[in-house]
Amino acid sequence: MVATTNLKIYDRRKSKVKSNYIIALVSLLACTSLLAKEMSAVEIMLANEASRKGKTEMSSMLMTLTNSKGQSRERDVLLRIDDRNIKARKSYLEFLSPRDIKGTRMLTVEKENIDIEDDRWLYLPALKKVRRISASNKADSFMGTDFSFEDFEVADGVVGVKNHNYKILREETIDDALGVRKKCWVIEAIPVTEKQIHESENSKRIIWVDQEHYAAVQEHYFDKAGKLFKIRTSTDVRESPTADGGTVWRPMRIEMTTLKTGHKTTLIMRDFKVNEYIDPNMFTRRYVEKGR
Amino acid sequence: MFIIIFGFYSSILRSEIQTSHKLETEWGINAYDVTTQRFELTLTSELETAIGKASELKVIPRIRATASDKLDPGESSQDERSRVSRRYYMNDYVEFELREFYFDTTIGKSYLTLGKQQVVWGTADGLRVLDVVNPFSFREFILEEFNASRIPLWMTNIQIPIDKYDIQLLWIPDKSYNDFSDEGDLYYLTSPRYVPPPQDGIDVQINDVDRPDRFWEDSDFGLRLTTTWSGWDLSLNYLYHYDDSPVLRRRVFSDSAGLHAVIMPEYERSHLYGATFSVANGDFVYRGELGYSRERYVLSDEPGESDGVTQRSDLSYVFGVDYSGLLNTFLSFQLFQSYISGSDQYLSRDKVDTTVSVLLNRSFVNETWRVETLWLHNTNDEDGLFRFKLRYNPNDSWIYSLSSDTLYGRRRGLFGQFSDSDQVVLGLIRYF
Repeated sequence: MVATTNLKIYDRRKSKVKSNYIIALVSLLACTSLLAKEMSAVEIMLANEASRKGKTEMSSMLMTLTNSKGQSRERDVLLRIDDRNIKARKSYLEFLSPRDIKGTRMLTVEKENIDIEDDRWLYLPALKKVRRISASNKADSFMGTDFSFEDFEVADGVVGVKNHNYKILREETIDDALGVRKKCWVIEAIPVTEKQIHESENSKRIIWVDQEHYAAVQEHYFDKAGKLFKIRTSTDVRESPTADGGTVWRPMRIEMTTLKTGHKTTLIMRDFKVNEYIDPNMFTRRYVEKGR
Repeated sequence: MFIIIFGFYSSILRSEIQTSHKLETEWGINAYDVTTQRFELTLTSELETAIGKASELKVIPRIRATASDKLDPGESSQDERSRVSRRYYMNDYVEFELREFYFDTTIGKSYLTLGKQQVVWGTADGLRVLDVVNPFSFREFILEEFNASRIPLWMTNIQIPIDKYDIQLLWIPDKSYNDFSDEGDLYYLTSPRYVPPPQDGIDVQINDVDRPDRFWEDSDFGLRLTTTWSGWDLSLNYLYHYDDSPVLRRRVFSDSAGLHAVIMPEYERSHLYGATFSVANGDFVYRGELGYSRERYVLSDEPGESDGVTQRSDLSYVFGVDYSGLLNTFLSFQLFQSYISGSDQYLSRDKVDTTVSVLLNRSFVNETWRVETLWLHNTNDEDGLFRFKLRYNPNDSWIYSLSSDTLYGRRRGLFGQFSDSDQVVLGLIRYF
């Protein structure tokens, strides 16, 4: 009788443990899913922007252009970015090599008001003067690369949310271009303002945002006809200390491939520094003219 | 001289100076008789070295070897150039020119550039109103890129930033002026707009040009104020200079031998006041420059003019529109007009002179191919230039090009006077 009773008690305890386990498991799953769905698509893209923007950024880029036959051309590019105003980036870019474009310099100063034209100037050594150029031609290829001017902007973030609709399509674990497993949110970004629709070369982008560091490890670009035409991958995400004692995680290798031609452009970041002091005079028309 | 230059280049290899070189071959063929107008090899080097943290020294020498040359065969007179800005001829076929040689430094927030250099004012392409700080070589008429035809001058160039403004001060003691082709050269000017036409029965003598030669008093001075305001790039310009083209005064007299004309070229002082603007709006960029001078000298047949020249005021401007709305395409329109004061009766030019330009530039296949067409047309003389250029840039070291230049119109016009000199040019550039 006692044994039977004990057995029944055991069975009840076992049942209770099992129930508790199930409750805990369900609760854990619920919490996990709550955590995952806690961030909206907009919040994810804002976190993505925060991961891409410090106060300043300095690097020298090795830009390699490779055609479908494997023939390549290289550019050495000096890049300086001022993001102290998160709504209006300033970027200075100078080609250090090869010889035929050495000394070409470009400055872009974004405006907080998205309805106002960005300022953009170009210095061509052959002309020996600075000329103002249109900042609207975002779809144009940047210096023959597979990146357009638009691709060099941080399209998503505080400003991007005003002219894009974002939607989480799913979560997915992918291998990045270097074979590293990345658990990602898959975000769809569609331009919605008239200005953005007119100026952008994309009708839609699908962005794989890494859940660990919020880097966009892969991006698919769809043209105005809705056809996939370019793919960008960002890999070799590394920890970089900032000058003010912080840490950022940034991809050191970015590759853009144009599917139709098989041409690709690879950017490798070198001498990468974040939040170092950059003289604000560097982001002036005067500096573009003189180069120093 | 060859040994010195060779030693100079050899020493570069052992130094820490940054060097780069451009070797260019051009073969120009006359489109009518399919003869060679020029075949030349040009080596242009750039040597840069940093001096301290804020300074650099830059040297750009150029050597040109010409196998067949109708542009300026033999040695050019170079009367228009100061001694320190002349080309050095090794023989009839090889010349050396120190193109640029300057020291660049910062003093506080200001910039100082001392030496032989080019300073470019204005916003126009191909048509010049304010781009007159440096003179030009017209050896190839206007067919050469401005960077190569502009004559660098020894000058002091100071740029001072003050808040949102930049002030540029120029002092140019180098008395070099436009280098025109000599008689017998392919692009020798004969247009009656610019040179007195020969007349039957009159013996013509051309005197040597009367060159300014006082170091301080005959220097040129320039002042430019630039700023950016609400998306507009603006500048005000002033240049106190000798006009780079000589005034061709003439005197006609008779003696027992008959009628004689003496041409007396002379450079005249001029005050040039100017302004520029540039602004972007969507796919368009609007730009312009304006220049006013009270001392413009025009050839005249007015009976009361004893020297065949009259002084007028000149107001010139260029208005340009650039369009970038087509993928990888640049389209540009420009209108150039020059107004002279007073009546144009007896003058060699019209009161209002108008030239338009259209430039189309399109790149393909990640900028390995580029096509450029340029059309310049003067509505007064109904003459102009049409240029087509195809460029292939397969890698970072080589550029292949094929271009054609067609000059058309009335022979009295600036372009039409060379309508027999249409050419096709094959080009090859090697960078290293």
